[in-house]
Amino acid sequence: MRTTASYYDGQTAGAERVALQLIGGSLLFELAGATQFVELNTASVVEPVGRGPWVVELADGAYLKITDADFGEMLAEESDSSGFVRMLEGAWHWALVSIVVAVVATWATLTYGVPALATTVAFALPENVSAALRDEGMGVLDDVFFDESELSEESTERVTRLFDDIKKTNLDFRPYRLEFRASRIGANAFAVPGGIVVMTDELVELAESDAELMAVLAHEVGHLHGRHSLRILLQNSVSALFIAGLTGDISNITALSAAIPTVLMQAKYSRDFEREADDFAFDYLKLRGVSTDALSDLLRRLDDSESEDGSELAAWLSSHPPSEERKHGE
Amino acid sequence: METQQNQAPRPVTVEFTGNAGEYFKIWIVNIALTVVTLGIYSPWAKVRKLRYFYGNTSIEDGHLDYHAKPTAILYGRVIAVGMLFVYYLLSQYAPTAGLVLITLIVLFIPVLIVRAKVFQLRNTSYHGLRFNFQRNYKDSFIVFYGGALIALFSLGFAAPSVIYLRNKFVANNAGYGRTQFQFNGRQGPFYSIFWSSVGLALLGGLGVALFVGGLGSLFGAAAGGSSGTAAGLAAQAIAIITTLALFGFYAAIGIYVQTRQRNYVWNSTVLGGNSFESTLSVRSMVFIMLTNAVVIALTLGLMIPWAQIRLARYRAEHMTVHLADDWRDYVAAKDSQGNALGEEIGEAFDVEVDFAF
Repeated sequence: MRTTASYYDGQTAGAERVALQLIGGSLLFELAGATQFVELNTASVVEPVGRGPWVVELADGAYLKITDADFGEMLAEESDSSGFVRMLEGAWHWALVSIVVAVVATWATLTYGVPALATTVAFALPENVSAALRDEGMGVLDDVFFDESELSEESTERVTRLFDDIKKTNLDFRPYRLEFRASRIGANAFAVPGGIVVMTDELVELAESDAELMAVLAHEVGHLHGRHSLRILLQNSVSALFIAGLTGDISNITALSAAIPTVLMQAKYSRDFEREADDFAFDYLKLRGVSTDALSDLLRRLDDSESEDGSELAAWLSSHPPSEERKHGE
Repeated sequence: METQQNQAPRPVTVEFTGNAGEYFKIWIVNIALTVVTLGIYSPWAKVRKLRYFYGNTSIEDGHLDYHAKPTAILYGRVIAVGMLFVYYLLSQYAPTAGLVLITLIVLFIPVLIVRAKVFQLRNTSYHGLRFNFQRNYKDSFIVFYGGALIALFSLGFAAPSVIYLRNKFVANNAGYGRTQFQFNGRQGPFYSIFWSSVGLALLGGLGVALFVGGLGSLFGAAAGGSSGTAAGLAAQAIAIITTLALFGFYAAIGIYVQTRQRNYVWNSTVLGGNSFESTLSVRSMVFIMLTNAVVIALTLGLMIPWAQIRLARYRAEHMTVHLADDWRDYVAAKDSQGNALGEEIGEAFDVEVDFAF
């Protein structure tokens, strides 16, 4: 089979038109009066993209461009190029299949794959982050959000007793520690990586029963026990990397559209971890024979105590599930 | 190469022949294969994408081509992701070591920039001859850190000088074969672009404030006497409209700066006897970029290929090369291929690599 091709020597700009023949796995062409003989297994055949040419890269940096499609097919047969990607790129029905595959695979990766990977990695690592990091984390929280606790000794002792009871349910919980702080951002409780649960004075005061305090303490212990801080760090970074990998080639302005799915995904991960901690709390409350309504009662009062900026739209982006939904463990 | 000014320069417009339908199929297959292979296919996807865009760009009878080996890019990406992972682990268990690692990486940004440019340009050819980038690490450090100091000590007011220095660095170290590009621009125009963008930003901020104020009183009057929820909804609508308007406006200012700088840099750059003329209009660029963003958002990303092709076509149509030399006179630099390491580590750590070209 023969055709005309463009020969680029890799040393100068511009092409040489050459008559090209394919004979038994070798290419033959005339160049400056001399016959060139190239075995295909010493060259690499590069498939076309779109309507582009076939390219044969020769060992010395020169290359041939071939626009003759039939000749290209012969080249593909003689070389080891599979043609699989070219087949997919060549027809609209494969494009439709690709859309479905891309959507399903992306969804499955982000919803199941990434969390499973993060869980595996998080539990394969030693639980205790360094004391330095834990203290650093506490230090930042103290600077930004907290002041010294002003609770009476009586109430701290009462809450600590409840906390110690949760610790009794599992030997793994022994290193966990409870701290009290006055909050600058309203009633809340935190699980600090490294095993510290922080209760704010405001939340202790907001709680109307021991059951509610048990619920919120168990919820935070659930965060610590599930290694949620490490898992969310891993999930957020892996998913951001994944989404960036898919959309990373779009230009600066439109890159914002890539930030939206990332933010939504991370909000979803956060809600998932809240639910997991809720389930942990429900299990504990049932174990102690306390009504699981305690958690939702407290959360509802927490919602009411916050300013009225919570709108329908904000719920979509929320990092926590809506309170009404967080009722029962069933 | 001997520069021969033996012919009058003839203007040739860059031609872009890509089309959205054809590229859509390539793009969606790239994404599907990348997702299914958990990212391993991404270097192949990148190469196919660039081969499509370059292969469809021509000046006279010569095409651009992209030659990078996907395996070289994969190698770089594996190292970059590995370092990222190590960094995350360190920041969790040994924060000081993590800080040392990130400091080392930041220190080496000038090296990464040079490596990325070398990889990008040496894998790009026109008419079968590859572009080139000098491994000028010394100037890269001077421009990057010197520029940062200038910007810092001038409280940002000398930022245009920094942009000027960076563009000059990139253009003067780029070459086609063994012939260097030459940047003949001055600092002044970068300052005029800078100050007009500052002026626009201030004017626009005022405009948006007035607009929102007007809307607010309008809605306030309309909701007056009615229930609190209506007023709340109105407030929310105003907040959303304001955010979108502000975002659109500041994006437009960004496009204004980029477009005028791009025009100026190309118009001040020569290659041998050839010069360039970039005539992008700010208004068209703003229109294209903003409508692209809206269309992409409304179609959940499905129109990304269309948006990219549209932008590439507009850019090509507004780029003219004034050809004076015979391409035959251009010959290759001595060494040719660099590996992908610099570029891909740069990508993974969000290093800004694309200065001007």
